[in-house]
Amino acid sequence: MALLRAILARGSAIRLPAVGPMAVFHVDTGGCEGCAMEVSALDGAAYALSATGLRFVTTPRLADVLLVTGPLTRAMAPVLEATWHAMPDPRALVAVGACAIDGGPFGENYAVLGGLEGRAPLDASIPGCPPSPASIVAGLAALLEASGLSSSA
Amino acid sequence: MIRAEPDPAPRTAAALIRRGEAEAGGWRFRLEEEGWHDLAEALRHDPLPFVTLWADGRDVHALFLEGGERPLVASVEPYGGRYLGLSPARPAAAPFERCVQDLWGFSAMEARDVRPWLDHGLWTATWPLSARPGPAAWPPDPPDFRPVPGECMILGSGPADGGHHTPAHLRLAVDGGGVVGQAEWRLGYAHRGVVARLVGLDADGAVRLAGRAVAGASVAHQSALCRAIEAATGQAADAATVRTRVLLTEIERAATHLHDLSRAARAAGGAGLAAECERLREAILDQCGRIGGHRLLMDRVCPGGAGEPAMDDAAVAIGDRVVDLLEAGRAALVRCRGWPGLEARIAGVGVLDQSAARALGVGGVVGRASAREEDLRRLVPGYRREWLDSGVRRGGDVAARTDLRLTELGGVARLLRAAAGSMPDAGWRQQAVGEGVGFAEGPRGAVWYWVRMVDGRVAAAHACDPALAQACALEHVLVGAQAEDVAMIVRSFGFSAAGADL
Repeated sequence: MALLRAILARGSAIRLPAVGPMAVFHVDTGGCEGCAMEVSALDGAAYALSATGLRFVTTPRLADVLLVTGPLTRAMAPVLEATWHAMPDPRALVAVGACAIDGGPFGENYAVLGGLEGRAPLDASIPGCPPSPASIVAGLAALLEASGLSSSA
Repeated sequence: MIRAEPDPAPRTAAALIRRGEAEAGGWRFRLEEEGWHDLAEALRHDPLPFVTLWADGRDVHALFLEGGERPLVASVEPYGGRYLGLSPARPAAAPFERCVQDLWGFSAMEARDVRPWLDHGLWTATWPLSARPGPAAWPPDPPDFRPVPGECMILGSGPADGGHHTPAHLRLAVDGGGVVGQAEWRLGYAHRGVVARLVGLDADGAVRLAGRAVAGASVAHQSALCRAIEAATGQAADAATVRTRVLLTEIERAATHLHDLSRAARAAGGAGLAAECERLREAILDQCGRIGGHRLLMDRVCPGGAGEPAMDDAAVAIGDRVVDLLEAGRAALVRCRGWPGLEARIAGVGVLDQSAARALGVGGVVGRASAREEDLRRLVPGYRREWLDSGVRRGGDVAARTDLRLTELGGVARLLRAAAGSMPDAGWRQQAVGEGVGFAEGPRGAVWYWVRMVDGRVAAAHACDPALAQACALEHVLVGAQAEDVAMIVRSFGFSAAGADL
């Protein structure tokens, strides 16, 4: 979708804030909920998330990272666009799971656009169907390292 | 004039269906338009349980469960794209009629609700599954919500609210005292066209896709479709495969119950209970991930006769460990549930009464917490009736659903132990009729599949998840609730828009 690409496209490399944990806003763009359940597990008591230097926020206005799970359905495309616009700069886009990356089992059809790959520049993509919470943390930690934050948390 | 009456007019709806022309074995009958009208009329006073309704491009089919045991399908060919809706007699049919309208363009006459359900006007075509899809209108029509009672303000949440769930929009009309006057879902954000994608796949590919219909009920969807395909192609699962499906379904039930419990408890402020559930679930999923790498048990059920012996042994071994984990975790769950503040928060809130649950076709944990004896496991091959306790609750509130899930965790442990120590009968081989119905009792309720196989590939299919009925029940339950309790009530249902939209 050219519209989405134009809106999500941006020039500079990511620059995350130097203080505080990395704030992540999670949007499920329509899927089987498997990846969403694994992200939810990550947000629970079984993983000490704040020690990793990450936290989940409930509004995009406070978020550094937009974490997308699920294939992008046509009904969710405008919602994802609005979410991205609501985030302050600098911001990063992360696709979690096969669907969010390239559509996985839910490629393009009458109701689905497919994955984000090729539609928007991804700062990280975490493959898996669904990826385990450990690999999601690892993928996000790589993002932290890329922004030179790993030891500050 | 004397007309020949071959038989006295049958009274029951089931007999009316049977008067039609038998098309697939002895369970699907084609009715003429008058026969369908008679059926719709008879359903007003006949309690024949309605399950689901769908279309296949030519016909509209309605599935009933005769005597609570035998699937019975009535089919009618819509005349000029119209058929008589069943929702006046069976409110549970209303969302299915709206889905059929959106996907196939067959409209239900006299239906309770004719507004779009899945289609937001953003698809590439209207009626995308019909033989002749229409063009999509641009710009799309604004959403057509029900009129709101006066003196209410609108409180919308979703589809992107930072909660870790499938997108859905819930629109509440709240009065000055914070009491919900009306609740309405806007779904369809997660519609991926599972039914359209199933068509053309071979059996293995179809089951792989069904495993990704709803992650919390992956095994249930896989095994329901497997049973439908086996019925259509005249195959039978061997005893070890039947047992493996039982074991995996129960392991999934434990994991999904813990997920739903933790989410409802978090919303209720019961952080202790939520934390215990999350840790226990992680321990169970960790075990599941050790076979084949799928923590959510996707791609673990294969259609056809013999499964893999290695898979069967692994399922027994994991079942053993899950039993140990559940028994070790039980005391902590009971202790956290007993925290006094929690009871005050969840008792008497979000009550679904038995008659509404029956009218809207809500089964599963939610139905059983509202005193409905709905458990398809008594019909699923591999289960024995003595393994199942009829642990219904009468309350119908959040507390009843929480307690029932905790009780069922104990039931899962007992059932896993009993199933591992027994060898069930192999499935019975049916005559291949090219069509089959399959079902499973998933963690959140009954999952149904209908499939038509031609040359080893899916020619037409239907999938039904309990979430659709739950969405309608929630609109009913949320009226009168406090606005701050809404998230807790929705989560206590275990509602997943992935299952409602498919």
